[in-house]
Amino acid sequence: MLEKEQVYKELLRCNKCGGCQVICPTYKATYYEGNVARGRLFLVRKYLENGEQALLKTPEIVQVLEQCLLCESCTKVCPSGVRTAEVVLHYRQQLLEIKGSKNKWKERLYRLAFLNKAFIPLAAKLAYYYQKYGMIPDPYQLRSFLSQYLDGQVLRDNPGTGITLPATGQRKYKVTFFVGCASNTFYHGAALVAINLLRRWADVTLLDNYCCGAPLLSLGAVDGFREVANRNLELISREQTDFIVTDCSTCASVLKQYPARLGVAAPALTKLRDLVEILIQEREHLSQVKGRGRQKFTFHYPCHLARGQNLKEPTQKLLDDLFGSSYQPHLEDDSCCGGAGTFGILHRDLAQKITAAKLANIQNSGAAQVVTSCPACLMQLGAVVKRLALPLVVKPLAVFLEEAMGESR
Amino acid sequence: MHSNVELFLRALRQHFRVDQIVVNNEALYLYSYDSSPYSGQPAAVFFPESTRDVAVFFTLAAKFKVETLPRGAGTNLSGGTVPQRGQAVLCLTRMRRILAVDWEREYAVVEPGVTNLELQKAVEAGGYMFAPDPASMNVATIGGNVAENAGGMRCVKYGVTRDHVLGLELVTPEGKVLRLGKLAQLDGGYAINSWVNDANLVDLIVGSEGTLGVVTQIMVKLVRKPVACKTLLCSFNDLRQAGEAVSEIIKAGIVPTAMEIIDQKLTHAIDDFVGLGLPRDTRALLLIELDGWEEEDLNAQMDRVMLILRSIGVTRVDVATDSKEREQIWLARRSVNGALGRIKPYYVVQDITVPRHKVAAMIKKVEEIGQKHGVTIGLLAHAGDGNLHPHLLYSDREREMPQVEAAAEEIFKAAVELGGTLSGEHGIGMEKRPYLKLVFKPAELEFLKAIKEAFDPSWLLNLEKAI
Repeated sequence: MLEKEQVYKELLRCNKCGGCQVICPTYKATYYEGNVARGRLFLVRKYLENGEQALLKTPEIVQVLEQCLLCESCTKVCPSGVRTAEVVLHYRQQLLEIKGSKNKWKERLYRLAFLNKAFIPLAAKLAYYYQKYGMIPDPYQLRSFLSQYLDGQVLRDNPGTGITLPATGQRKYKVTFFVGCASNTFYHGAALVAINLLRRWADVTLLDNYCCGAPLLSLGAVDGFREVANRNLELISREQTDFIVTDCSTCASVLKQYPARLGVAAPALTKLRDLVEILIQEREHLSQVKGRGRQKFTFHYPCHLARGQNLKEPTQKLLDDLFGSSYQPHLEDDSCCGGAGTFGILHRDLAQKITAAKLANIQNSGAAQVVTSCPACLMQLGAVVKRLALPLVVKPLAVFLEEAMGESR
Repeated sequence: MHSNVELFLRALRQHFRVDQIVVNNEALYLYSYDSSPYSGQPAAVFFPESTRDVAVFFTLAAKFKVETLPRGAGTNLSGGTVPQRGQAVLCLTRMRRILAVDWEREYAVVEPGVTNLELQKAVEAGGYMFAPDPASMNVATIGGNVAENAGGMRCVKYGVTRDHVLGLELVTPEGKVLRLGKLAQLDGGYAINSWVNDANLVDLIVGSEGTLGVVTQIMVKLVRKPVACKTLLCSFNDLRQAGEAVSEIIKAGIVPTAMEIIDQKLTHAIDDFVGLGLPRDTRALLLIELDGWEEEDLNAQMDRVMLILRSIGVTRVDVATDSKEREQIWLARRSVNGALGRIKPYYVVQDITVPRHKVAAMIKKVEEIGQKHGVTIGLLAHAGDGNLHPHLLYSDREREMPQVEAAAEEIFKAAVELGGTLSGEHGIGMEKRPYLKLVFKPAELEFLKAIKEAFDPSWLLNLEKAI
C-alpha cells in the first residue's frame, strides 16, 4: 500500500504523454479520457489542489476511481512507470474511510464473505435457488455465476479438513493446495482436475485457507485485507510441504504480494507457486500431450498471471512446446478480459464491451477454445460467450490439459 | 457569449444522444489539457460519429456564434488542443473506422480518429506502411497527424505527412463539406480537385493545425515497407560530433531511414524504462537506421557509414539486426517524452528546425543557452532532417518558469539566426505564437489571416492558435 507521499510521487511522474491510451481496456471501450490512466491521474491531481476531502466527494473522481480495472497494463507501457493501479487503490481506501461512504455496505458484505470460510458456498447456493425459482430480476447475471455450480462438490464439502490425497505417480514432493474461493465455489470440478494433475508427482494436502483477499484489496478495504492475509500467512507458514500451489492466478499473484503489502518478511511464501509454474517445472512429464492435428485453441493471459507474476513468456513457451501450431495466440492476449473480480458485475455494461472486444480478437485467431488460469476470467469470458451465443468453448487450464492428455493417450 | 453557449448546447441535445455531449464541469477537466504544459477549461465536449455529425455541430456553432476547437488523442506538444478560450471541443476519437484499403492503387481512406498505429497494423500484412511515424504514433490520430503535418523518425527518407496525403474530406467552420484532392476523384467528380489544382488545397489544409476546418476523411498514400533493415547505435563523446556525423552522412549521398540523436540524460531515462542496456556512459547516442530491398543493399551503405563514423571519432557502434531488438530500440526512442517524468515532473519541448549542416552548431548553442540560464536541457534530435527537440525540464512551475521561458526564447532566436524555423512537426499551437514575428513579416501574417478568413469568416474555429 502506498503512503500519501509516494502517491504524490506517482502522480507527478505522469507527464500526460497519453501513451496509456494504446492499452487501457476501459479507454478502448469508450474512447473517453476519464477512462484512461492519464485522465484518472490528472483528475486526482487537479482535485488534490482543493484538498482530499473535496476530491473524494466529487462524483466524477469516484467514478474514474471505481472504473479502473486495476489491470496494470498502463504501467507496463508507461515510459515513466507510473503505478496508476496503486494510486487508485490508495484513494479507494480513502473513499471507504469517509463517513457514510456508499461502499460501506460492500465492505461489510466482503468482510462477512471473505473472512468466513462457510459463507461463499452458502451464498452461492442461496443464489442458485433464487435463480431456480425466478426471483432474481436478471437471470443472465446469475447464470454466469452459477452455471458451474450444479454437479458434485468434493471441495465444497471438505476444503477445510486438511486431508491429504496421496500421489498417483512417483512421488517427488509434497504440495499444499491453496483453495481459492472462486475455484472452490464455481470451478471446483476444475480444481479437482488440477489436484489430480499434481498428484502425478506429489502428495496433495488441501489447505483450510481463507480468501486470498483480492476482493477486499480492490475495494480498498485494507484492514480486512490485512486480517485475511495474516490469517493465511499463519496457516501457510505452518505447512511442512515443498510447495504451496493454487490453480487461481489471482490468488497466486495476491499471495505473492503479501510481504510487500503487509510490510513483513514471509519466507514461507517462497514456496508459493501458480499451477502454471509447476506445469512448467514438470514440462517433460507433460510430453504425452504432444500431438498434431488438434483443434486450434488460444490462451488468455490473466492480468494476475501476465503482470501480477510476470509469467506470460514462460507460459507461452510451455504452450508452444506442448502444442505447437495448434496453440494460436490472439491479438492482445494479455489484455484484461473485463472480469476483474467484481468489476464484471458492478460495471456490467462497460465490462461486457471490454469482453466482447477481447472475444473478437480470440475469434479472429481462428481458435475454437479459449483456455485460461483464473476463475474470474473464466466466468466473465464464459458469460459473454453465452450471451452472444459465440461458437467458443471457455476452459480452465487444468481441464484442458487433462483432456489433451486423454486424447493423446 | 455565455447564453449563446447554452442555446447552442440545447440545440446540440436535440440532434444527438446524451453520451455524445459532455457538459459536466468536473468531466470537462479531462479535456482541458494535452501533452503540453498548457490548460484551459472547455465549455463542452462533443463526440461526433460521422461527417454529418461534424457538419451539424459546425452549422449550429456558426448559428449561435460559439467558438470551437477540434481534438484527437490530445497528445499535442505545443498546446494545439488546449481550449484556452473556453471553446466547445469537438473530440474526434470516436470516428475511427478504416473506410478503405486499396492494395492495387496503394492508398487507404480513414477517419480522423484512427490512430497512426492502427493504420500501420491494418496495412502491415500487405507489406505496406504509412510512412509518417511520430514518436506518439501508438496513440496519436491520423487527424492530428494531418493537422500538425507530423513527421517522425522515418521522415528523413520518406518525407512528412504532407507528402503522404492524397485527399481529404473537410468540414468548414460554417458546416460545409468539401472533398479535396484525389478523394474527390474517387467520387468520380472533378469539382474542386482537378479544376482548381490537384493537390494544393490539400497541402494548405495539412499542417493548418485545425484552424481552417476539420478533416473527416483522409486518403493516405501507402508505401512498400522495406524488407532489410539495420539499426546502428553509435556512441560519441560529444553531441556536436554526432551532429557532424549526420551532416557528413547526408553529404556522402546516403539517405538513412532515420538518424536520431539522444543525449546522456535521456538515454538513461529511456533505458530505465526498456532495460535494453543502452550504452549509459556515452555523452551522445546517434541512432541510425538503414533500409533497403536486400542485405547487399545495406552492406554497401553500412561500409560507407562506418567509414564516416570512424573519421569523426565514434567510440562504439552496436548493430542490431534482430527485429525484436530493433523494435525495442525504437520503442525506447519513441518513449523519450513519456520517460521524462523519471527526471523532472514538467517539461517544455521545443521543435526548432535548422538546415542539416547547422545541426552541430545548433546543439552547441542549445548547450550554451542551457548553462547560461541554469536550465536542465535534455536533447533529442531528428538530426537527419535538422529537427531538434531540446527538452527544457523543471520541477517548480512558479519559481523556474521565468528561466525556462527566457532560455526557450533564446533558443528560438538562435535557430532563426542559423537560417532555421520555429517548428518542424509539433506545430505552433499556443507555445510558439509569441515568436511568429521572428519568422514572418507583418505582411505575410496578414496574408495568412486572409486565408483563415476565407475558410472561417466569422472567426470561430480554433482562435489564437498557429497564427
